Amino acid sequence: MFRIRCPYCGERDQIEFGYGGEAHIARPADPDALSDAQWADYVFMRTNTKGLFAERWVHSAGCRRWFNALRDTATDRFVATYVIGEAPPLPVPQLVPGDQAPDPAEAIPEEAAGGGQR
Amino acid sequence: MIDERRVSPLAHREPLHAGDFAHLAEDAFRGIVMVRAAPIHLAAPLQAVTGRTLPIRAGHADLGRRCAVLWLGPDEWAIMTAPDAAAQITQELSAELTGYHHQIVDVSDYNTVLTLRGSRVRELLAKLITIDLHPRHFARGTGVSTLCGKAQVWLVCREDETSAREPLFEVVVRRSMADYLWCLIADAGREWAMPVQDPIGQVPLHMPV
Amino acid sequence: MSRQSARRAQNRLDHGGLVDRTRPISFSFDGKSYQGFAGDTLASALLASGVHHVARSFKYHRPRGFLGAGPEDPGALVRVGSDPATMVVNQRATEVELFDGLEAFPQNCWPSLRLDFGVVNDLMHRFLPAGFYYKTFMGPPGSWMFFEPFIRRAAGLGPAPSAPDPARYEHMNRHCEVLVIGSGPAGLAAAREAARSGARVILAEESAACGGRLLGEAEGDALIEGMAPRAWRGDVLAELAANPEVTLLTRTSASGYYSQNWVTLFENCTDHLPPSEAGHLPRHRLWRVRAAQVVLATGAIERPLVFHGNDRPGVMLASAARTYLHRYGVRAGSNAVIFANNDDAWRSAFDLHDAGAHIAAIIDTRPDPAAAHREAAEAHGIGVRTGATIVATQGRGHIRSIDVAAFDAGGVTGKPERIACDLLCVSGGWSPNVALFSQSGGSLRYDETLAAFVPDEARQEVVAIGACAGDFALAEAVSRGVETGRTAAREAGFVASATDPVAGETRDAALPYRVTPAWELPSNLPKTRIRAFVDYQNDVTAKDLHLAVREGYGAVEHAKRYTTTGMGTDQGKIVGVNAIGVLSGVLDKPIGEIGVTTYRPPWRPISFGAVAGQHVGGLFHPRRTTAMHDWHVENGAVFETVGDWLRARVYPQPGEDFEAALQRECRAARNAVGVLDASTLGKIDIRGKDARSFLNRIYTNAWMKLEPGRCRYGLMTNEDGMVFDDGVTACLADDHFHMTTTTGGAARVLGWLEEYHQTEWPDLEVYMTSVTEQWAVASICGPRAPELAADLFDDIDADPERFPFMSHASGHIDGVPARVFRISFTGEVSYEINVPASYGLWLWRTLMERGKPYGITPYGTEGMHLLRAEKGFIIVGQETDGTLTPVDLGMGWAVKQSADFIGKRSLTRSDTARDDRLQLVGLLTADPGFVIPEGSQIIASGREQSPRTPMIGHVTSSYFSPTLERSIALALIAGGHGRMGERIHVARRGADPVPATITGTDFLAGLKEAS
Ligand SMILES: [Zn+2]
Repeated sequence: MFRIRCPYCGERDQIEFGYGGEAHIARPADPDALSDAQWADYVFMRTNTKGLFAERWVHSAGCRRWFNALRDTATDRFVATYVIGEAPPLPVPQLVPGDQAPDPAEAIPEEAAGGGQR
Repeated sequence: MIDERRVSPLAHREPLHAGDFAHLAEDAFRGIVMVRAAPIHLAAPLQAVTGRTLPIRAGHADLGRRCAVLWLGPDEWAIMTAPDAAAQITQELSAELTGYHHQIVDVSDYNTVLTLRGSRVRELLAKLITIDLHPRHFARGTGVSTLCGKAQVWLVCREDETSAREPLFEVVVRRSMADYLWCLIADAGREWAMPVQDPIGQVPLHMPV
Repeated sequence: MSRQSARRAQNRLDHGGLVDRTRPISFSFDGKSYQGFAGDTLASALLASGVHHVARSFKYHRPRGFLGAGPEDPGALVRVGSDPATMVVNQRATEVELFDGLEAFPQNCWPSLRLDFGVVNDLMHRFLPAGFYYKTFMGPPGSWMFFEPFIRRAAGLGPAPSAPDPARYEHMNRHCEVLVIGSGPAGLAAAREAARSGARVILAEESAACGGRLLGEAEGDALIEGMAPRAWRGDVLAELAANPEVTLLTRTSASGYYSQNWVTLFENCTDHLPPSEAGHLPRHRLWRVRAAQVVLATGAIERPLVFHGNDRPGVMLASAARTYLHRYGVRAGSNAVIFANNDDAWRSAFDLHDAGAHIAAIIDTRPDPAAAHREAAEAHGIGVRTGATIVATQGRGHIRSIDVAAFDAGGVTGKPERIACDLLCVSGGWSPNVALFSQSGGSLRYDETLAAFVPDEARQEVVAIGACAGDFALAEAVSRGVETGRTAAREAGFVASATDPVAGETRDAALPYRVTPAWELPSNLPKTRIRAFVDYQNDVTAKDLHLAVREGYGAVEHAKRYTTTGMGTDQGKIVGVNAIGVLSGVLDKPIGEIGVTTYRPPWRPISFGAVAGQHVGGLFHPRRTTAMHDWHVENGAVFETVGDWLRARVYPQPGEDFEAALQRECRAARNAVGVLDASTLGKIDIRGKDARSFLNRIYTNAWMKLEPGRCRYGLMTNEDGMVFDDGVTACLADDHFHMTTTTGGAARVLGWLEEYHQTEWPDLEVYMTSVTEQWAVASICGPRAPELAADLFDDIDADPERFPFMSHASGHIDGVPARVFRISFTGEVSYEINVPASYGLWLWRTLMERGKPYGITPYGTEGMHLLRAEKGFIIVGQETDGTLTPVDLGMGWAVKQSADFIGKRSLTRSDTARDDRLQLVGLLTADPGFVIPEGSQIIASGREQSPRTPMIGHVTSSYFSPTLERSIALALIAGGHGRMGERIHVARRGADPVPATITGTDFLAGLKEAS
């Protein structure tokens, strides 16, 4: 069982938290302007990083606040947690375009990538 | 005076004793008010209405005799007060906060308060709670929202007017889970001979044949 | 049990050990009575009485005795107790503590321990090679089916208890600065130093007494800090016991080491006590410790040697023989042979000799044992053979003699010589007990000098010390313990106030540890006849490992699984390194390159009870009860769980069955007045100047124009456009709303609102707070509900004309504040009455009393389901399954075009907009008396075809409607909205499909048209 540092409450056991998947995916401002593929990319597609990964957690049994965490998915080590709206304190691969080689079959043109919100 | 028509969530239970080690009782009908607002807007009105200082850090609580304020989140607090005082506090605080974004909700009936006294209460609670309850980390004046067994609770450690040695622990729990939690705590007190309590939720789920 | 006279304990010494000779204890094993002393284990007490053969092995049913003296023992598994509820199987006799009246039994043998028919497996061993089980899977079709029953019967490890376990178990969460695991000299020193800093220290000791090897060795002239070791131990324990910040746990094993220094400790609280003395303690306790620093002082485990015939009862680890001698005052034999590849084991010869045993020989595989040992042996008159090995052993239930011969790299060189003995002490060297270090994620390194794996790099805040770290010398163990204890406390933020200099000298009584590995020893017998056991519990021989390599399973993890090495309940404590050593010989690869198999929790078997803790039975999971619960119980309600809530499902009256009660309740709601406990619906208070726009983004329908005093039904969808909750929300004021959700969805919806507010739209001024349980809710409905309501309300006009549908009002009932919502889930005139929850029971009783003249009848959730099905209202989770859009449900009217909302964009995705999606429709069977089973599949034709008739939908709700006096059903059918009036068929198992007609979902509307 992990200990997770809620940015508001401090360290608590994992059982107090809920997981919210990948962080820093903003909801498109104008969904109607997106193609089906672009919208599907926002709704369904997530990166699957081995290593440092920015993800969302919610302190459900504590302060009920959502926050972001950097976790190494290979070791389960929490590197940092930070409040919603802040930039990650370390560079994370999922936010660096081109850093990870996307599967060519699923690659989406740059201009279509979720309205550039990533 | 409590209206006789009211029934507290644990009205069917009698206080439980396990020597000097642990005493469990319900402190029924406490007034509880949830307040949500920006701390900068809330601090002065809270002081004016309740005389309490707004706690602004996790785990902090301002625990007065008649009125206590618990930090629950960066814009969320609970005021715990006497049975008859919630309505007035709600009203007065609302008036003071007019013009500011806020929410004040009377949740006195939503919750009930379990009190625990005795020399082994920290040990007893540690069977059900994962946060550190050592006096260095959970002293008088601490209040947190956490899990106790599978129930979400607010746990408060405060001065006990009846004991200089041991603090009083208050466990605030939603009414629907109060009986579950009561029985779970009694079970945790078995070691010190606290009597067994059977949950009222153990009812047949199927048509009797 | 036959009451024979207790056997004389012929192998018990008059003095020495921790046993209390003034407290004799009677117990029985295999139906015979014996006597031991307080402080004995079952093993030590049986050995004292000369009993070695106590068990049969797993696969070949070979006789098994005591190889070890503690948790490492692989073979001496027994059943304790005979009560069908409380008996426990697979207990290590070496750990079971004696208490008065203890009854133990052998297991895995039939009809008896001595005459066990399972031995045929042993005679057949050539046909049960490594990988046998896998081969039966791969063999001719049906061979697994053929062998499986035999294998299951033959390979049992004792029967499971047949009655529920009456014992209590418990979890205990604990935080500490320093957790010390193991209480040998290193662990004691570390715990003492850490505790002196004021830090919280937990010291966990697996056995009944602290001290580790200090208790198992002769003291000789050893010193710790200038004191005799046991006196030093006493002082340290007294100091620890006096410190309130120290938790000293005996009979407690660290079973698992998880992320972030989370360690589970398994404590046996009462297994060592007669039931009358257990008091109120739980049987087992699982401590869940979060430690800032962990100190592993888990010692080392001696390994046996791998030679032909090494598994007979009477073959014992050299250190175990010393433990029995010094800890329990038991001499495990009177004529012993010592067989080793290291200097340490020679101590057993000298100690047993000093205890009056005859030492028939010391056999050392090395040509060069320590000179001091050789001199001592000569002085004691003990014959020594170096560069020699045992090539065979004799004795059926107990070792009788051994054959020893000289050997070199090419094999056995000399002629075997037979030596009689009743105890064979073996030692293949010591393996640091690195299991927990490895579980913690730390890496291991093979140390050539020690011929063992030692901790290398730590991945967590953990330090291994003492024998666990390969420091076998006492002085090093103690000084590392002192230093580590201090460092650990300092790392955790505590500093010892005064650093006392270590008082006196620490020195060993033993010679420095020297070992030369000998992994697989030769025999003069033909290869096919050699049976040198590597795993004593799972009966894996060196030959099996050879076979595994030949068959392509040379990688250590493969070989382990193919042969089941180390996969028994002992988890290969003594096996692991020997297996790797043998593999290294077969593969001709250095051990370091072979590596180790992964260590996984638990370190030792722990009870399921401890894992579950107190969260069982009635305390397994909260069952949430409403304020009216007592009334429901008193009035015979049958309950169901909805989410975590208990809801009254139906209230059968005497003589009524479920269906009759349901029909009666529904008729009352349609013809008079029904009342439902609706307290469980989720309720959320929503407030702020942007509350309205927030709702407009959350719900699929429009909210900008809802006036104060009015209510509106709304649907929520995920971003994928699929419905996940619904409910009615009331506008209390322009910036204030009261939202209701489904019972099961309450927490999720509040979480959903907070998530979107906090992460997407923090700029919106809106606060959400749950008020679900602030209000108890009784919903009255039916043609006479307005009359009852009018009677009830102090200050609300109940007239449906002036208090119209989809509006709400605040007022009082007998002075009690109430919020009343004119919303309906049944199609009848309804009043949903909310009062503060502490008045809930009063409200309900008041309704029952005042409603009597109007024929008030309580109805449960089943009635509610039926009544709303008649009206064609959906239940989220019954009609929906996360794959349906509002349009699919025929609720396109609830989808606004005016503004964006969560999920809107998905509704126009090509797949979501298909018109042949599953769509919600009504069904009327041709036979009005036939009620379709819910979940039935729908097909287009009346005849099922081969191979498979395509399914075009399924039935989601189905009832016999008392109002229509016929069956009704709701169903999802592909393109159903465009197929009104079409005839479809409902498939049945083993019967002809039933015809039915597609209709609209509002069956009451149909009724009105007809009337
Ligand atoms: Zn928090």
